Amino acid sequence: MADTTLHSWEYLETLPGTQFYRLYRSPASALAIFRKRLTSLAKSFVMMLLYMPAPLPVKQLELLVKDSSRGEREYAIDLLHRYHIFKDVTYSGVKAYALTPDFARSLRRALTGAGDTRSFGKVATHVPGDQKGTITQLDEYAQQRWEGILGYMVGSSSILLETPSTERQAAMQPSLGVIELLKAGHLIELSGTYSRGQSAKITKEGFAFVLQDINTQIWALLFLYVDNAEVFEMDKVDVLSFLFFISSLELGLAYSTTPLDDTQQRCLSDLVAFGIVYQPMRDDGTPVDYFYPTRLATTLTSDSSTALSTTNTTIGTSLSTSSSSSPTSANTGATKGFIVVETNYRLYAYTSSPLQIALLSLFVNLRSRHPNLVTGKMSKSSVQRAIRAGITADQIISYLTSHAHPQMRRHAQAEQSRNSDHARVVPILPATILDQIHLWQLERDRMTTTPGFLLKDFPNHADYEAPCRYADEIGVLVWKNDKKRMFFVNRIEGVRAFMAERRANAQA
Amino acid sequence: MPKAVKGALLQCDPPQMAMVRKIDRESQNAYIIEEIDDHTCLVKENKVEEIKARVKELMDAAMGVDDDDNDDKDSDLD
Repeated sequence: MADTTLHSWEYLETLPGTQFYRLYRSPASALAIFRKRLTSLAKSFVMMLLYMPAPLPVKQLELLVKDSSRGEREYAIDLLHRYHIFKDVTYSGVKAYALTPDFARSLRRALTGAGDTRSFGKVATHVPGDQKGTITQLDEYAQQRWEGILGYMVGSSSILLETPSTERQAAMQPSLGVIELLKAGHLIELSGTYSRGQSAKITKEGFAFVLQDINTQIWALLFLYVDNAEVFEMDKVDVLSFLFFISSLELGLAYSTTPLDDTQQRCLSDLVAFGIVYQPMRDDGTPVDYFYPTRLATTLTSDSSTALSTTNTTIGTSLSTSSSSSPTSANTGATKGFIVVETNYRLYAYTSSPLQIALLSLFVNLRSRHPNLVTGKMSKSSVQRAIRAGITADQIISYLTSHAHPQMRRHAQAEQSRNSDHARVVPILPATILDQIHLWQLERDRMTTTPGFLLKDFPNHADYEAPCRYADEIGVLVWKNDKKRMFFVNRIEGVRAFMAERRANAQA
Repeated sequence: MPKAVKGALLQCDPPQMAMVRKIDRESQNAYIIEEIDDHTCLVKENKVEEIKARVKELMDAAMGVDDDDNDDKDSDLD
């Protein structure tokens, strides 16, 4: 699993164990954590233990993994502990692992479809035929809402956007709740007074946010929501398990709201504002008693990259072509890239979407604008301006790469096949551009800091070597110096346990 | 007996480390917990942003303020 620095998921790991046990009481949550957060090896371990009547001795589990893959094994076990799925027990005199009972029960239920109807929703049966939402409609709805939120964040900050699309921006203005949430998460800052109208200004974190892929963005926003749940007198765990519940529903089906409790009803109305669920309105303005999950919801906990990329393309479509309101351009080459970058730092973007143009203007000096094309040039000052605003070189590069024009991809492919050395991957962007963006960043940002713990004063090399290697295996090692016998980790729990155990073994 | 010290690991190049040390010396060791080598040191976690800002300030002063103003002037000739 590629760890796309989801701060949000790390937030989840900070919850105390008891909260996890409550969360795991719902089958949907157990399944969601299982699908989304575990590595393949960790999943295999869980599946192996799921129907075992007795705990599995540590020694036996170790036998299942080749010695050459020790790192993966340690990482998987650490992960399972962090999510309170594994617990250490002593079974007939030896150390053994067992699944925590709540998790095991819920996952078994999820797999066999047992339990009450509340676990995976109740399909609404009484939807009038002529009001059935189609998947296309749902996609469109989700897309409008989501684009509205991003557009609000970026559009409001940009210098470029006075003219063409003021009306459309206003039409997609996100709800007050969403704006509050963005503000609470420091993604935007509001200035001005209520009476004279407020204007939003995007922050560093906001910049980083808008350049992420959609799934990451949604989760970031949802975790913000969870974090602020207590302000609205809702329970964190209830909200989380409701989110996991929503994510396990099926796209294109209507679900009844009757089995939902008060907290869940409230959540639901907030999720409507994000475009994660769709709830049609009656004529008198009250919501009907059924709702549809949109594609944003159903791929929330998906672990398959294809499903995720479908979200990115279907929802992201209008973000990359001109707009959702002109049907011709939405169909033609909808999901294709549109940016051409030349080796002389010139950039041509075939788009007229205000959101895309605003994004580009973050790190490109835009020079001219045509009906479906903007041109500009990247320079040291424009890139460093972006870096000062908190955008990293890698974010710029990944943005440019993922939106590269098909012509650039073809070019890179041709280059690749001409190349005798097949192991070397030819990047889509020109190599000079890649290097230069990194160099510009280095020039500005030569210092990195990582919070964590420094371990030092090891009496001999063996005592240093073992925990250091262990830290590396579970992926928490940041820096080490063999000569000084010091190393630095960003999480200490696992290493501390390892060292205590080692000491105990040495004394025995 | 091994020890664990909480803090933030600061990694940079030797010139910048010299600046970090200078700032630290001038403010009675308000930042650095432990100097490790020319590329690394351990700083107080709550002072990270402060030291970063101060180093940046010092650098800007040393290198002269933005001398790349002309960079933005894009012409068809280049």
